[in-house]
Amino acid sequence: MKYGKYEIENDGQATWKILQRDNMRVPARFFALESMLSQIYRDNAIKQIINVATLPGIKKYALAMPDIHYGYGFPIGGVAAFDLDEGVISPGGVGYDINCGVRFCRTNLKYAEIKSKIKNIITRFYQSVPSGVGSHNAIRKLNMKELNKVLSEGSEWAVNNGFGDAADIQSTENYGKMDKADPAKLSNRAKERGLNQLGTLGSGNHFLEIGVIDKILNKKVANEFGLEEEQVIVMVHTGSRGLGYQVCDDYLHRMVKEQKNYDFEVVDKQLACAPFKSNIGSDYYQAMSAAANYAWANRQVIMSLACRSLEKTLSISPKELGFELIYDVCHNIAKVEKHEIDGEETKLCVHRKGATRSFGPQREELPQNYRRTGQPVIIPGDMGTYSYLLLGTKKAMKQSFGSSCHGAGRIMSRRAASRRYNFNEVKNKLQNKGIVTYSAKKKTLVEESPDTYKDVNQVVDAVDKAGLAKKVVRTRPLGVLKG
Amino acid sequence: MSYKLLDHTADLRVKFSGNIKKNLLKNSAIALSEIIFEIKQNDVCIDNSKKLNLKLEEAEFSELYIDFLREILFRINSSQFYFIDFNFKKITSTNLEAVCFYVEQDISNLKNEIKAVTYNELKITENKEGWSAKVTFDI
Repeated sequence: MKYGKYEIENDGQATWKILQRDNMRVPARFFALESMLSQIYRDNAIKQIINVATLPGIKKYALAMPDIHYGYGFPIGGVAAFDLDEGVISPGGVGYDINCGVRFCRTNLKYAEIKSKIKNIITRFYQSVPSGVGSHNAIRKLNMKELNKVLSEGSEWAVNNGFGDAADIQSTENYGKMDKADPAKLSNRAKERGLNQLGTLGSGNHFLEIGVIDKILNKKVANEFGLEEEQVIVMVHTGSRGLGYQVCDDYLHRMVKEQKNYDFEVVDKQLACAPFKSNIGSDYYQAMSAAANYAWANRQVIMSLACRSLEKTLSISPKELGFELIYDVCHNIAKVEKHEIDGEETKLCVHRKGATRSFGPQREELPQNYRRTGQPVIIPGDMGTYSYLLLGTKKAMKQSFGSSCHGAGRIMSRRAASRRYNFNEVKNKLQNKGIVTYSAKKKTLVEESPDTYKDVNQVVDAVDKAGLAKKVVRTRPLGVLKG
Repeated sequence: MSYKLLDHTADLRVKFSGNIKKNLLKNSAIALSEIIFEIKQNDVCIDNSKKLNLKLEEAEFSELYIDFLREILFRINSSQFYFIDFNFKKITSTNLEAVCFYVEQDISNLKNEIKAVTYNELKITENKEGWSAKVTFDI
């Protein structure tokens, strides 16, 4: 099979390899069902994986997950791991919304108990969690000293300030904190943008959703996680807001300027990068880590506001609600992790841009309960169909540096969606399925219409077949607050 | 109209144009204000306009242009400046000095989020009709 001049061959179940040629330093590999290939080729995102394969110090493969779509620099759904001595770190390989991520929470509630109250719940979510462009003031404005603590402590700051409890930290990737974070590496511009946005959703594809488990796909693991059919769950999807965008923008600009000082060239300026161990590479890693901490604190605050909203709307106690974070995963991040290269455990800088960590059992990074099972992997679909909770696998450690996909993946531009659909049509269609929606802007609902995304069932099937993660439960949305 | 929205799967791609270089810059900044606030330039009350001095230096014009857009976008997003006019004191391939005129908008007037200007597939061209630039924005 050919993509332009590039040879593509089947490399296992739902796994494809782009053979190395020209200036590629490694082959590329992507995961998809055969039926998804034509859509992936049309989008031209394959070219972006090939570009990533040209970066210095890249190890084994440039990778893309089944929700791959065209981005800038790296494709969305891109994963790449770089040697710490000879490799690079790239802000474009992380993306602007640093540590955009998603968390999945269980409750003691059953669907039948809240069926008639979904509208009230979503209205209360809307009142408690600011959403939309420039959303701000969910909690009081921070001062600079407090912001620096958020940037250093991540989720811990939120818990210490009354948002959630210590158990949440155990159920957060990296325990909600990157240790290398250094607030001094952020510009004043970035910090200014972060002062009043903690606890806000933002816009676009970010959401706060209440849903229900409609199918158990692995009973044993679901039991271990305390999940059962008809159980009500909550998901939060957002990131580091304007602060994170500014960190990426600042460092990308600096790296573009400094690119001429390095003995390698990038094929796309958006792939601007620096040696991991250079001063600027190290500064970016510390700044990105601080922005990642801000994002974890943000999701922790939002989750806590959502939990309180449920207690108030339903007039029940925390014990009756039984709200519990199952896991929180990052979508956009670069992290130093140990992986096997040529039979030896090696420290690498793994970039995930629109991809989720999917660590299998026995990884020391996981808390005890998940070290036994593998980590939960959350794959939200569009707001009209399903979402999935899966489990990381040992196979993913070999195939994809322990990575899986992060969502369904867009197939239609926002402009095309606006031309094709209208607000009432989308809202009514969702309403007919029993899904209550609320968005700060009508336009967002149209742009995020379910038909603008790939079929999440296919994407998850590809992940499952390729062995990157294994299905545990499927959920369907009941009410969605969009940005 | 001095700009045209183009299709892009996940982000926003815009073609800006101007008959001469400085108008490409001016039109791009005004277009960004229009897109983000969803208010046409002619509908903006300019009674209380203020000014901002901008001085930029880059290695080549494409980088200078992106840097200019970055500065404009930062002020729209962080301070809700709606840019209405520009007085360019100097424009070369590598340097730019301008007085930027703007009016402040309320934060509730922000209608569309543009997170950042990217370098991705940037195309700046000059032909007999003038200058144009195709830019991808992260949204």
